Amino acid sequence: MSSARSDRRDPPRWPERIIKGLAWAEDRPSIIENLREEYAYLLLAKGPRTADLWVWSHALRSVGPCLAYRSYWRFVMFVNNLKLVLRGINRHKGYAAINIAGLAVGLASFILISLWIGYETSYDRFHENRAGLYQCVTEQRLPNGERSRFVNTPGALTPFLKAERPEILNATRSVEWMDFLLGTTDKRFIENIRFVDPDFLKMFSVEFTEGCAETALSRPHSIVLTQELAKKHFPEGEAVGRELAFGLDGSLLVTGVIKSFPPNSSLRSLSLVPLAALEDLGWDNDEWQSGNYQTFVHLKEKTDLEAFQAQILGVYERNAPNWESSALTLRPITQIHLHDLDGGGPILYVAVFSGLAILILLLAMVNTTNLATARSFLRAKEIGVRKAAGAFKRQLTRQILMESVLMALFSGCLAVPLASALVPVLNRWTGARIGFAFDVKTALFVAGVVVLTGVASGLYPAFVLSSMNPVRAIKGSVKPGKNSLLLRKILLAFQFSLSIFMIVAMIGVNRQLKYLNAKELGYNRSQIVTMDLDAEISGCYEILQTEMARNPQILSMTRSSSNFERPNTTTGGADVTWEGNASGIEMPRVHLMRADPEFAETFQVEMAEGRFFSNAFPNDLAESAVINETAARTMGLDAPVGKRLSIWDRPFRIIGVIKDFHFYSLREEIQPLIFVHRYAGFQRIFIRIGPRNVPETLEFIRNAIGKVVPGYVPSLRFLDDNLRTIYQSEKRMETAAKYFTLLAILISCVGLLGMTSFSTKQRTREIAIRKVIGASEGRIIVQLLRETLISVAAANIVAYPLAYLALRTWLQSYAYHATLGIGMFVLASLSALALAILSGGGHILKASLANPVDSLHYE
Amino acid sequence: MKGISKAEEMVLLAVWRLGDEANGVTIRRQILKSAGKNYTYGTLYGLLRQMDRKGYLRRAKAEPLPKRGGRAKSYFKITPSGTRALKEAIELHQLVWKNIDALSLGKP
Repeated sequence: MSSARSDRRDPPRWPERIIKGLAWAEDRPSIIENLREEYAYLLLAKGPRTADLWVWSHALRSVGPCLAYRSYWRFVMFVNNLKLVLRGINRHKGYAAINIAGLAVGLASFILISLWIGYETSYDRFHENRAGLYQCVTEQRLPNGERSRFVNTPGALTPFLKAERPEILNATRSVEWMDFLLGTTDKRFIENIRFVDPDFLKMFSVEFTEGCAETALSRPHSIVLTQELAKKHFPEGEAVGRELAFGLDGSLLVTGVIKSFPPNSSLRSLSLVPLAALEDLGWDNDEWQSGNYQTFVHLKEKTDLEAFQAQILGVYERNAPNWESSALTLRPITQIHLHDLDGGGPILYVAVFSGLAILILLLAMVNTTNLATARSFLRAKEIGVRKAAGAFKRQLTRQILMESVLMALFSGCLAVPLASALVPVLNRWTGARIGFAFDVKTALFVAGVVVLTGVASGLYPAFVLSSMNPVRAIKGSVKPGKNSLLLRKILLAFQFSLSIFMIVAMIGVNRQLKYLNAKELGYNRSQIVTMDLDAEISGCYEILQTEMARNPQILSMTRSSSNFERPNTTTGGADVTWEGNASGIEMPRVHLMRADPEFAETFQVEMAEGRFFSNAFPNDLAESAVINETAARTMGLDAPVGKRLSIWDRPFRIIGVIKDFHFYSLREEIQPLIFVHRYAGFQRIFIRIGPRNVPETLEFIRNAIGKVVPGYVPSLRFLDDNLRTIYQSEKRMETAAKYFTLLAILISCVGLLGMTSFSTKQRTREIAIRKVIGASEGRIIVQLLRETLISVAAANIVAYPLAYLALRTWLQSYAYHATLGIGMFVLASLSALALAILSGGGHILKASLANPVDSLHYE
Repeated sequence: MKGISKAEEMVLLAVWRLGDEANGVTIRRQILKSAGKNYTYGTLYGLLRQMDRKGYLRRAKAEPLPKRGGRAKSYFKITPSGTRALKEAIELHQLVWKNIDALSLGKP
């Protein structure tokens, strides 16, 4: 019984599967059959255990030889296909050149954009503790229900969190002082200083070349310099142990030298000083009032972030009396660079450019597909013969795919050096500092992209070619079917709609940039020289004033708390009250600016009502306020002059209304602004100079400052240059849009060139017959151009609404923006049309001028 | 003049010896018996395919098995050029080993 049952037993399945998977297709049934026969025999003779064991060991031992055999033949076929591809390239040099060049350019730009995206997303990832590092973000609820998020926190937060929350491993405050006068006694420079707690060095990866992280910041009057700063201040050598003058009469001991922060670091500063040094300047670091500090925390591993956030949410409410409308939240430090607190930031550009990279690669792939499909009808005979000789459909598909992969590989070989040559250019546009190191990761990525591109662009031609009917193919009666012609038209239209889209986008971005840089700001921005102001110059400002008054080319000079690039001190809500506010309005956000009486004259801003501050009224300093028109409107005051106003419970009297002017970026609308002589320190000096002898005037200013503060080297800049830096990201976007548009057009045109060359060749006899019958050259040109023109027309219809929507969305992020005219669309279409006719025209002209006798000789 | 490898020689010899009976199982067993080599089918069919290509062997199908869906078993037959190749292999063998006996290998 038992032997009868085991007699019917089938061999285990897995060994059979292994062999099925590996053996040469034709041998498969025989091998399985043989295995079963032996298995049945063993089962009878030795029993099921031995039989199973034998099948298993046999299958496993077969793996090696089977694989070796298969890969040998794969290799043989590969070499064969390679030969075919090379012959094909040799025979159709023009076609291959167009194909490879287009794809290489597409791949190179894809690689470049990927590098840039990799760089942008690598920000702050070099810190070993990156996973646990967070920045504290204050979220303030404004009276109008909006939320304002900022990184300022009170100084007392850090010691409080460290003491109260066990999840925190380390925490540090950070105060970045952009313009601090620092130097040895004989030479001083304005430097950027970061004041931090000693924990800073435990949290962030800072590499010391001299000194050590444990002790460098432990004494209050120490300073850690980067190598470049050490060299600047101590060019003669050794910096550690030397002293730098600090503030009015203090000094800091250099205790360490560190490597510069990498360029992809959002905390970039040239020197670190213990926060305790700020006490010299009269700061109280442990109070809950002012928000001068940024706070960073390092959480212990496996901290439940959500629970922790819930715990700290109400920290302000419980501890800081004047922060009660705010909540405390955290964000990972790796997000600092990419995500702005208001929701925008480089992440938008990363998204836009990822899309662009893919589109450009797609354009190049469309070219390859289009050309290969068109060419496929020229090689119909080859395919027919292959089929007749017994080639499987799968083998043909594989061969054609391999051809396109090889093409992609050739392009890749061109694209990589091209991309690496263009990296410096990319760095110049984007301001990034990308190094093109061709390491394993990059190599694998590039290889993957190249192979994928090859496969994707070869799929359709492979499908078309391999499913050709061999009999008709050999007879030469295969004509491109309706489907493939339609596909070709659609792809062409796609390419051109993308080109038109990009041209429109480029014009739009360019217009907006011009608009931003040329818009009337409400003040005269030209001929104003600006420089940073710090404690030392503040101390002798009056002397500087008399010094400056000697030169008639210096028309006016003022100090201001605003630098016209970033927002000012702001307040709002219940902190601002005013007389005549019957309906109980609350102002959500008010900017406070401090300025000298000369401000209105220097900036040439006009008054709408009343007067600006004046030296003739000494009381102005203590009790007068000037508001802008928007503030007057928001406050609901018809006659503001003379009204009382109180800010943080301190009374002022409104003496004038200044006409609205843009006091920072045009991305936002003009907001309420109040000038008072409080709450903000002077940051900048602005000097209006006359139009004549500008270099001499600048030299005079430098000398005057050097005379007043010996050893001081001011960095003078023109205000309009400074303002341009506000729109740096727009400028970059414009540059990128320009070049990518060019690229897209180039790729599309190259594709069109190849296409017309093929389609005219295919229609040689048709054209000749038309001519013989009596068609004029003009008619034939029109006939041939029609296909292209229809595609371009269709492309317009697709591109217009998309471009319009995209541009409008982008422009709407600006409170002030250029208008979209129909002109730019027409211009885009016309240029696309012109390019299409130019790139296709050569072949068409040649075809239409050809002598029909020669053409009909063909074959 | 293509020579054949030792393994090919063994397979060819087995096919020749088995005559009409040469299928995968019998060839494998023959080689195991006469040369003590335990080939897997993976290796064996690779060799068979190679010699088919060189023209030393020919595949033949037997009558389908007399049951439903019965497959035709495939057999291998040696071709005249296969027999010639075997003869050449033997000649080569003898040529190479000529005079080796005279060196009295057996005696220490």
